[in-house]
Amino acid sequence: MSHIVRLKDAADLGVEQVGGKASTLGALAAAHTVPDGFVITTRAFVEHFHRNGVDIGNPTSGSKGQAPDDETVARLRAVPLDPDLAREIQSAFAALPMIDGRPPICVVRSSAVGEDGAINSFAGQHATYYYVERTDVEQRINDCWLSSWSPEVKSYRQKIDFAEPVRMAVIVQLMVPSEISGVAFTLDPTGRQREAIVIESCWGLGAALVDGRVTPDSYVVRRTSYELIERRLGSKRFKVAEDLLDPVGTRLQAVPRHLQRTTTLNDSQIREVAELAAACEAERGTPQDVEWAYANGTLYLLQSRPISTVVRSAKPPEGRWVAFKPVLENFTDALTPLTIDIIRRVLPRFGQFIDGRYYLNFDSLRKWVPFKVNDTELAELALLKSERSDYRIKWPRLCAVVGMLVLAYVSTGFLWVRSRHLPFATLADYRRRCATILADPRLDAVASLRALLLGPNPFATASQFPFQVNVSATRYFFLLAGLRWYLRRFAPRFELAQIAPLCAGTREILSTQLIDDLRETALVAEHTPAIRQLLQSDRLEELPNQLAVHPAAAPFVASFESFIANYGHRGTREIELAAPRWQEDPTPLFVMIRNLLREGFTEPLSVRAQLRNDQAEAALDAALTGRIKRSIARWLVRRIRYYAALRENTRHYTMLAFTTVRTKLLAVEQQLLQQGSLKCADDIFYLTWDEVTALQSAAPNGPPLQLPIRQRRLTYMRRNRSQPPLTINVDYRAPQRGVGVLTGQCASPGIAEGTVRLVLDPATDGEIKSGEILVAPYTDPAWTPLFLGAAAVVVETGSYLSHAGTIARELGIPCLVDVAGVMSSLRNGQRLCVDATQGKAFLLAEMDTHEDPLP
Amino acid sequence: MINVIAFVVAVPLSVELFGAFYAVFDASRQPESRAAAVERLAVPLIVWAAFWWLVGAEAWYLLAAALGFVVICHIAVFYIGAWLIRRPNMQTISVDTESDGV
Repeated sequence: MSHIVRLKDAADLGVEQVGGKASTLGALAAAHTVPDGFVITTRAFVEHFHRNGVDIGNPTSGSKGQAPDDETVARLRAVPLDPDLAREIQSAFAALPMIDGRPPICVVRSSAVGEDGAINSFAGQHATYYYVERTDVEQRINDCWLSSWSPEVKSYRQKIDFAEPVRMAVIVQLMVPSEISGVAFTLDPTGRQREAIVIESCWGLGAALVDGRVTPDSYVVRRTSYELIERRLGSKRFKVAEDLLDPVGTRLQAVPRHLQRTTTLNDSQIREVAELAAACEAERGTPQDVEWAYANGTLYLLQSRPISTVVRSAKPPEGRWVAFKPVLENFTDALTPLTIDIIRRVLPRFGQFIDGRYYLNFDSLRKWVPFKVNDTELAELALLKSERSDYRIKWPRLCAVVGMLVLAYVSTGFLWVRSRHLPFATLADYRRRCATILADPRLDAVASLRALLLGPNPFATASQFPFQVNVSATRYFFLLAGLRWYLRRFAPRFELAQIAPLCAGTREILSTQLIDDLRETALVAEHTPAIRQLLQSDRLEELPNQLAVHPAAAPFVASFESFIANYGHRGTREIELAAPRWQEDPTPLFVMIRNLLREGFTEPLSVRAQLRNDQAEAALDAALTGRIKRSIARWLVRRIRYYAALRENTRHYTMLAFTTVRTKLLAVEQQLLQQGSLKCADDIFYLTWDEVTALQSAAPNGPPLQLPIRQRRLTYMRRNRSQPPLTINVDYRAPQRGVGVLTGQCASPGIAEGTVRLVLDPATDGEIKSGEILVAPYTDPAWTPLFLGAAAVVVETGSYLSHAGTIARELGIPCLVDVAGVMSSLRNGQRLCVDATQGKAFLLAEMDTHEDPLP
Repeated sequence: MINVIAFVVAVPLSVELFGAFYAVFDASRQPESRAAAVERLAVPLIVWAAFWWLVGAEAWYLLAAALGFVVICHIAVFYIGAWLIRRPNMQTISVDTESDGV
C-alpha cells in the first residue's frame, strides 16, 4: 500500500492519515489556488520509527509511547528512509510539474495529527524547510519527523497538556517564490475589531511575519462589504528572502529603503485576500487564520486553520490605572520584556508596567491631587489633557502636598538649588561617567543602569545626576502656568498664543542644535559632488563602507564623525534597550542629510527663532505697562526658556545611560550567540533578566527558550499594532471627533495647509518634502530633522511639554498634539488644514490617495 | 518656641546656602559660569548672616544644627534610596495579562 497521496486528494484519507494541515489544504485545493504537492502519510512515520526501535505509542491500545532522548534523535537523523518509501518519494517528486523548464523546488512542511486543530495549532512548532531540491527531500522529511521531539515541541506539548502519541504526515509542496505574503484572520485575534477581517502582510516569505520578526502592514476590512476601514504601515526593515537557500528559514535580508515605507498590498489585492479568507471560513465552518502569498501576480493559499487564540481570556489587571503620559508621548510602542525587567529593577514602585506600558495607580494619584475632581477630570489631569484652571481646592490635601514638597525640598533641595543655573556645558562630564561604567566588568546591565541613574555619591557634581535634574526641570510647567496667569491678569491685550514664540528661541537646546549640526554636515556634502552622488543611492546601508575608501570623502567623514560623537547615542525609542542607536546604524541620518540636500537649506534655526522671539518680546512690551511688570514677565520668560533647555539637555545625557546599558547587553548577546544559547540577534530582548543571567552561567544545552521567545515576539508585535489604553478600569472616555475634523491640543500655534505625510518610524522613513504635514504617532529627538521641512506637525499622542511641542515652538511651525486615531484615519496624499491655535485639523480633500505602487 | 521657629527657618536657608556653594563646585570647570555662581552665592550668604544677626550670636548651635540636619538628610536620602531600590519588594512590578508572566 502506498505511503503517498496527492495533496488535492489528501482530504479523502482523513486527519489520522494525513494530519490536520494536509487534510484542510486538500479540501480547499478544489476551490482555491494551492501549490501542487504530495503528502507522506502518518503510516510511513509509524513504520519508520517502529523499524528504528522508537516507542511512538499506539492510539488504539492507549499506549502513549516514550519520546526519544536527544542522543537518540541525533542518531535517527542519520538513519536513511526505507528504500521502498524513498523510491515512492522520488517518483512523486519527479511527477511534480517543471517550473520554467527547471526541476521543481519544494517546501517540506509538517502535518501532524492534532496540528492546525480548533484547540491547538502547534503554530511554528514543527520544522518547515524551504527550497528543498530532489536530492535533499528524504533528509528533510526525516528532519521534519524528528522535529516532533525537539525541546520546543516537547515543552509546547507539556504546556498544553497534549498527551496523544505523536503521528506526523509530511507535505512536500511546490515552493511559491512569494513577493508578498501574510496572514488573514477572519476574526480579529485581539478582539479589538468586530465584524472585521484583519490582514497582515510583509515582503518576501511569511516566515518573518509568523515568527514576529517584522512589524507587518496591517489592514482591517469590513466582513460584509470588504470595505477597507483601517490601514497601518509596518516598519518592514527585514524580510525572509524569496530566494532563500538557508533551510532553517530564518535568514533575514534588509528590505530596500523605498520598499520599507511602501504598503505591500494595493486595494484590489486587499479585497482579494479578504475574499479568500472569507471563503475559507465559509468552507471550514469556523473562523480561520489563513496564510497566503502572492507570486507573479497569483494569490496562493498556503494554509488555513481555525483561529485558536481569539480574544484570549486575558486576566484584567487589578486596580485602576492611568497611562504615564511623559513616557507615552515619547513613544507609544510596548517595551520589550528585557527592557521592562531591567528598568523595573531601578524604578521605585510608583506605578507598574502593564502589558509593556507604564501606568500610574489612579487611586494613589487621587490621594495626591489637591482638587475636588471626578474620575474623568482626574484622568484628564493625569493625561495632561486639561487646560482648566477653575478646580476647587481641597485645603487639607493641599496642606499635606505642600508639607511633602517641603520635606522633599529639605532632603533633595541641594540639587533643586544647583539646577537653577546649571551651566549646560558641564553636563557633558556625564560621558566620562558612562565610559567608566561601561568599562567596569563587575557591573552587569542592571547594576550599570542603577549606578548611572542614581549617581556615584551624594557629593558628586550635578552633571552626574542628569536624571534627577531632568525631573527637577519640570518646574518649567508651573512657571508656564504662572506666566499665563500673569499675562491674563496684567496684559489682557497680549495674545496667549504668542507665549510659544516668546518662550522659544533658546539657542542651547541640544535637540535643536542637532538640526543645525546636521545642517553643517549636509553643507559639507553639498560642496562635495561625489558625496552628493553617493547619498542618492538606494542602498545607504553600504555608505559607511563606500565613504571609508572614497578619496574625496575625508571632510564629510570628519564632519559626520563629529556629529556622531555628540549625538550617536540617540535614535528612535531611546528608552527601549532593543532599539538601535545612530552610532550603530547611521543610515537614518544619511536619509535626513539627503532630504536636506534635496529640499534646500534654510538659515540656521537660531536665526529664525531669534527673529520670532524678538517680535513676541516687542508685543509683550507693548502689552505691559510699567517697568516692574515688564521685568517680572521677562524674568518668568527667561526662567521658562532655561528650564525648557535644561529638560531637553538632561534628557540628552540621560539617554546616554540607556545606550551604555544597551552596549553591555549587546556584548552579553554576542556571548550567548557564540555559545549557542541564542539563535538570533535581538532574541535576548525577549527574555527576562533572570533568564539572561541563567543562560550566561548555564551549559550550552540549557532549557529551551525558543518557544517563549517566539511567543513573546508575537505578543510584542500584536501589542504594537494598537494604541495602548489610556486608562484601565477607570470610567474615562476620550472626547470623540467629528467627521472630517481632528481635535487635539495646541502645542505650537499657527495655521498651515499641506499634504499629509504619515511617518511611522524616522529610521525607515526619514524623507519629507517641503510643505508636507508631518503626521506621526509620537516623536522624540530622532524625529527632529523631519520637522525642518514640515509645514505643520500633527502627533497622535503628546502634550504641550512633549518633544514635538518644544521643537515645533523653536521652529515656529504649527503643532497639534494628542490627536486620537490620527495615524489610522489619515492617508498619505490627503490635504489637511491644521489650525493648531484652535486645536483642530480639517480634512480638505484627497489629492492623491493612491499608495506607492508595487515594485 | 523661638528656637524651634529659628530652626525651621534656618533649614531652608541652609539648603539654599549649601546649594549655592555646590553650584560653584558644579561650575568649577567653566570660568565664566564659576564667576557667576560665586556672585550668586552672595545672596544666600547675606541672608544667612542677616538671620544669624537676628537670632543672636549665642544661637549658633541652632544654625549649626540646621546645617547638619540638611547635610544628613541629603546623605541619608541618597544612600537609603539606593538601598531601598535594591529590595525586590520596593521595585516596580510588571503585569502581563496574557502571556507567561514576563
